[in-house]
Order: sequence, then structure tokens, then C-alpha cells
Amino acid sequence: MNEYPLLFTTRELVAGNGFVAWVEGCGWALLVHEPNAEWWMYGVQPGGIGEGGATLSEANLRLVGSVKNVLAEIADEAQSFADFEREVRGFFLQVDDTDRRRWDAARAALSAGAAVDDPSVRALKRVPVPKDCSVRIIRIDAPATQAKPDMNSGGESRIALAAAA
Amino acid sequence: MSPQGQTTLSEVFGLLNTCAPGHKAKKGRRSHTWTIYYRGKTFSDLPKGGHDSKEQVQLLKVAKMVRSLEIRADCAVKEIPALSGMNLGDVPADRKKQQ
Repeated sequence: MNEYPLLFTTRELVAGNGFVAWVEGCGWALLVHEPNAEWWMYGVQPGGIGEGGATLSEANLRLVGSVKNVLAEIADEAQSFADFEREVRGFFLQVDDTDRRRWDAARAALSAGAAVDDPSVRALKRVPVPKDCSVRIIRIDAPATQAKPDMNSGGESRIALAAAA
Repeated sequence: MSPQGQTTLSEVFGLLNTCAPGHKAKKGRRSHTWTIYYRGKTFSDLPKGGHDSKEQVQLLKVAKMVRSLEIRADCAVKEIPALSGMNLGDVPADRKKQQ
């Protein structure tokens, strides 16, 4: 196998014009070990991003960087929390249909027992595909009673292989 | 085309001008990277640089942009021949008519 179905979540606190928001995005990505030996993570949903690197970890870090960039730019443009919320939803819900079909095929192969040769992929947790994979956007009002330490982002998105539903 | 597996940002904008008529490109104030809007689809995080920039862009990223924006593969390959043989996706029939 050289194509793998990933599920990922990202968590970011984002400051905008007059608001702070916590964004927890759930997404699907297609991990591909390309012929040039690079690892690429192609967004399926959100479908408008894709990043690669020499290792799976590097590709993951770069993809997280892309998501951070997108959120920062949306926050910069948004005149209100409502604008921000609408644009972030639009970003997270855009589907790349071609990569979705590849993701489905990779998931079917994995479910059918295809061998995963690469140790970094084999080490990923296998989790069921959630029924509701979307994005939560919460406005953090002062005093920030809704704030919790687990809202902090990590250096990498949390990724896992998509197993049976 | 210079280094293997890469093209220039100016060639990417050439592809967009020819194959994605009416697209909009916006440079982010924070990251200075480009977001491309085309017929209801968005592709984010093209590297920073001007339209005539020699900034290098990986072909795998360009191929992903072509898939995401549902740009016709034949047009994309004509503009950047090095994309030939890469997965450029299938454009839905109704979108093909519009391009």
C-alpha cells in the first residue's frame, strides 16, 4: 500500500477582530508515499490543502502549519465572529472528490487486510470513522470560563488510520 | 522549470490564467501565502511571491491544486507539461462545460 486513509483533528485558539475563538476541526486526509519517496498529506475534507515532507511527521507538521495559516488569514479578514465562523466552516467542509475516492479505496483496502509495510504508518492508532466529522467553533468570552488547557494546540495534528465504521 | 519536481510560481499563475478563467488570487496579510478561489472552490497556502516570481512550487502541490479546484487536466498539462502522468483528478461533466 502507498495510499492510506487518515483521520485528523486540529485544535487552535485564534484571535480575531474583537474575539477569541477555539476551533476544533475534524478532517480526513489521504496520506501518500509518493514515487519520489516523499510523504504527502492531501486534504480530503478540508479539500483545499496539501503538504508533504521527507517523513510522515514532517508532512503532518506542514499540514498543521497550513491549517494555522488559513485560520490566521480568515481571522485577519473577518470583521466579526459570525464572519469568522462562516468562513472557517466553509474551509473545513470543502471536499476534494477525487481524493475522497482515493481515500475510500485506501480504506477499503485497509479493511480488507492489505499489509501496511511502513513502520511509521503501522504505528498509527486505528480508530473508527466518526459519524459526525465536522468543525466546532466556540467563541471564548471574557471571563474565559469555557477555556480549558486541552484546547491548546500541539505541534502536530492528531492523526490516525481510518478503520471500520 | 528548474529543479526536478518543481515549477515556478509564475508558471502556476500562467496555468491559472489559462485554465481557470475568472479565478481570484488573494495574498494573505499574515502568512503572505496565496489563496486561490475558483468557481466555489478554494485552494490555500500557495507559496508567497509575486505573480512573476521564480519562487519554487512543488509539482505535487500544483497537482493537488488542480484536483482541488477541479481544473481540466488536459489544460493543466499543456501549461505545465511536467504535470503529465500525475494524478490531476476528474473534472465533473457540468464543470467541464463551464471551463
